[in-house]
Amino acid sequence: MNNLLLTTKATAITKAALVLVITATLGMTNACRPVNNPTDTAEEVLPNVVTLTLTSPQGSTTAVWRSTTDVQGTASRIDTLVLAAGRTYTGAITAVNDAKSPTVDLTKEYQEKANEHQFFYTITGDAQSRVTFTVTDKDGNNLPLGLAFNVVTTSGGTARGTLNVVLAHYDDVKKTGTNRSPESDIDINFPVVIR
Amino acid sequence: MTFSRHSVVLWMCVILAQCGLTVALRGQTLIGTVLASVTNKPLPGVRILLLETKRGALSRADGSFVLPLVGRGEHTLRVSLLGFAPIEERITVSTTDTMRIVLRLKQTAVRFATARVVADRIVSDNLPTQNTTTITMQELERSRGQTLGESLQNIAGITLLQTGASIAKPVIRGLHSQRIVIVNAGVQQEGQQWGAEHAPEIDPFAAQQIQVVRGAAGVEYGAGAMGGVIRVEPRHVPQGAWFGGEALAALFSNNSQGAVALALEGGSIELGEKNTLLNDIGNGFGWRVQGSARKAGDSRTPNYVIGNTGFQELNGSVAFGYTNEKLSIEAYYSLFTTELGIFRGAHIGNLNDLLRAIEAGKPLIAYDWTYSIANPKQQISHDLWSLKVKYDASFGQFEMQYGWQQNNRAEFDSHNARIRGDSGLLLASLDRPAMTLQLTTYSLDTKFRQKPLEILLGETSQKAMLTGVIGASGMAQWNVQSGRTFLIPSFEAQSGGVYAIQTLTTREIIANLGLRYDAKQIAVRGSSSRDIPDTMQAFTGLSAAAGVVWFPQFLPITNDQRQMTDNCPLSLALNLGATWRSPLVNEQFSLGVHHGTAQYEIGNAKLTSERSYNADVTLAYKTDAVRIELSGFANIIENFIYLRPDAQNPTVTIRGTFPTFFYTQTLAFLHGVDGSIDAALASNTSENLRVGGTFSLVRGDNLADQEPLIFMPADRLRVFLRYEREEFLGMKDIFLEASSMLVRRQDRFPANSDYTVPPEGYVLFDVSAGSTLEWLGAKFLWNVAVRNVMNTAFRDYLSRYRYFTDDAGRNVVLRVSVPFGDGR
Repeated sequence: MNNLLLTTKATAITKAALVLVITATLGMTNACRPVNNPTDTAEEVLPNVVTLTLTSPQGSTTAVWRSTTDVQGTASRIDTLVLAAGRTYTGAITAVNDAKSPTVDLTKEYQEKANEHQFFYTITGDAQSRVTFTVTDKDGNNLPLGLAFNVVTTSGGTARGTLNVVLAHYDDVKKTGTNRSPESDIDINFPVVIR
Repeated sequence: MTFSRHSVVLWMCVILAQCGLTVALRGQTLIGTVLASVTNKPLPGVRILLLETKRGALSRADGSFVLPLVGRGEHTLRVSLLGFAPIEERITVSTTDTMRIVLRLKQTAVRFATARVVADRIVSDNLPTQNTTTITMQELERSRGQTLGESLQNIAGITLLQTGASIAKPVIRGLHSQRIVIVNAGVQQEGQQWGAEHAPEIDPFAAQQIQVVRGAAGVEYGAGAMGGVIRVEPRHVPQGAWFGGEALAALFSNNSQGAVALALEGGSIELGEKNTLLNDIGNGFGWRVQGSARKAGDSRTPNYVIGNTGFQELNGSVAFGYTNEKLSIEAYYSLFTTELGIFRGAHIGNLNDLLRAIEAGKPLIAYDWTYSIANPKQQISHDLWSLKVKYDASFGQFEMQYGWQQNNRAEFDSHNARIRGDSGLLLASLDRPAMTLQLTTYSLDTKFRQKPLEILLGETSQKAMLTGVIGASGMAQWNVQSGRTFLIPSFEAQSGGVYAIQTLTTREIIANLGLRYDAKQIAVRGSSSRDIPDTMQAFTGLSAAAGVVWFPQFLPITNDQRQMTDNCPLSLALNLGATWRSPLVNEQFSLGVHHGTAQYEIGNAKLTSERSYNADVTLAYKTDAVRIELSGFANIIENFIYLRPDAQNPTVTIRGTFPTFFYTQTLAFLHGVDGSIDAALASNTSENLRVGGTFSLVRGDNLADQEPLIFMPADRLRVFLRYEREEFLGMKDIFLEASSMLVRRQDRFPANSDYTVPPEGYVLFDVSAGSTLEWLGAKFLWNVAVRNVMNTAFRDYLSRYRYFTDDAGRNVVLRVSVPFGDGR
């Protein structure tokens, strides 16, 4: 009868399946040997050096923010940005990772993906009323980028403060030119002194 | 690799379905149920032997069993279970079709309740005095389609550490992750439990029952079982002529989730002619194949969408078993795969971003609802093979279980990281994981259960029974990490342990004593960029457990109460346990920012083992009308590992300033009470109105620093009112339930360790209803549940998203399952 035929056939298959389960179980023992070395197939490249360069016909000034070279490095050098009173500077910011060989220039990345980035410069403290940062460059949508900027200081005596530099990264938030993204790629502070 | 693995499962399904088909075509089957004679409760683990054919079966959790019959005429069944008087039942077979029978077993001299506990222990391996809760198949049916954690959340003492709808880690009395043990199909789960956002990789659809042990269980389960154990038991493989299964579907409104599951199972294979040895062997076989799939979109709060919290899961398992009178072998394979989104708003860049998110009080972006999963996300697969062999010798039972499991985890970052590949080129890499981890574990557990020994106690002619188990287990594992984001270094570890447990059962007490010794060594592969040297460490430790349950015999026995006292409704249990665990690699070698929490976490290679001393008292009163359980516990943990904030030294990085946290050790003290009550307000033979509830209170203190421990579950109380009716409008087993969960605000937390105070307390209401419906010749088990009926906006203290978003709002859930074949 049909039943019998089915039974015989199924029995053979079932026996085969049983053998398969057992051999596969035991076979696993040899199939998977430990892999010895972890491989950093690709390492994230974040900048470890951010440099502000301010030039003017009367004189220039730079300030460097550097962190240790491991990936989650902590700050190892923070320069004070020294500004002269009553002056107009042309400013530029660069970000590199010089722990890599060759050095990775991330400034170029930000330039290429200008629509996804924006630098914000905020002064706090006594110097706040004496310094004005104005971003001068634009991205493809004619929104500010912030790799280039002007700095104007008013005349007066010595004043101190803090400059906060933030690089906002726009992934799923649309860049509007004034909004901060929920994700900051760079967020550092420089002491500022106006002399 | 992935393809071949899936194709193996697929082939097995095809093969087994064919096999089952043939079984279904054969007839003459005895389907039976074994019940306890006094309580009418189903008895699992009962051995049923057909003397004429020497074929046997074991009853399942619901007391059912199936045996093939050969021809008409007289047959004899021998039915036995430890603690019960064995019976021989003559049956007359006059049909060529299926025959049904109900068998009742009486408890022996040892009183019923105690004997049942002993029997439970034999079945489940637990120390019988331990505080254990079992979630049965029926209860699981009501939470089908949810995660393992969610299936457990109504148990007293259990809370959830949640990261959205897809990640829920069970917390037992304030402890979780590395301080509890999860056992899946008899094998200790070795997954990636490094963070709160790493959920146990287990498919609850495969479970027949889930057991939760509260309190230290280091003697049976080894180092790590400080807070408790969760045992997930798959269905037993059937035996004898049997073919059946179950199809299930569930729909969830909140995240538009759909879930389907299918299980097929069968018994016996024709290996030879009838009445031959080969045929006998063939009758001992059984198999089961099971699969489930879930897909969900984003969760919704009452007011907005929690962006990118969808997930999809595809799981399956195959089991093959053989049982005869003395020997039982079971091969098991399960595969768990999931892809789940991580809420985008929780993936912040630095502390200022986090503070702005908290200040906003809701996500900074209005997300559109979608099924699609974007970065950041996780892809996880977990494979488990196991082979279990049991052999009954005249002097005891041997058991061996071999396990192989591999956990693959890939985590994807949210942004287009600038990375350099092997070629030195910069790549944009949304579709390359930021980190992968592969953990492979071999395990071997062996145990010997000695034959129960009857001891006569003095002149009272009272009997006592001595049972026990000795065992040894070994484990070897290695974890390989790669990718640009660093979580933990690669490592290799080996461990081994030996233990012995003895249990004495008398009319009034059950007492047990256990001892275990474990040794572990771990070799961590260093990382030059992380400043981690190659390290080799060894840890050893002793675990001990002692427990006693007392069934007071002072209650006067009247005729009316005879039945009740026979069941020993009142019991008082005391358990003491000491166990330990070695520090984990993430606690030793973390270095960097934890993105969900904006903390700069620094590991400590010099951490030593944690040691816990646990005491637990449980008072229980259980009759059919009222079930009350009340527990108190105290747990002292020496060298408790935790993250201590260093407020004076924040870490300044290029991405901003982060609060610094060091892994360090302290003396911790956890204590609390939890309990449950379930009482009949009114009941007759066909109707039942029940009221009850569960509550959990946990207090955790850092004794060295005189401050509360962080992230201890808030006090909670759940109350319910439930109406059950046997029959109504042609439906059976009808129930209506309304329940409410009240959670108090956590007001005990350490200063300077969190960015915001714990969220307010909340009250949630749930309603549900269900029944069994016969329709078109099939049986439908359905239930509808509405969770968070009032659509309350709330945040739980243990929700990892609580800084950024409310928890999910109202959820209407519909479940239908259809058992078929002999499973009906």
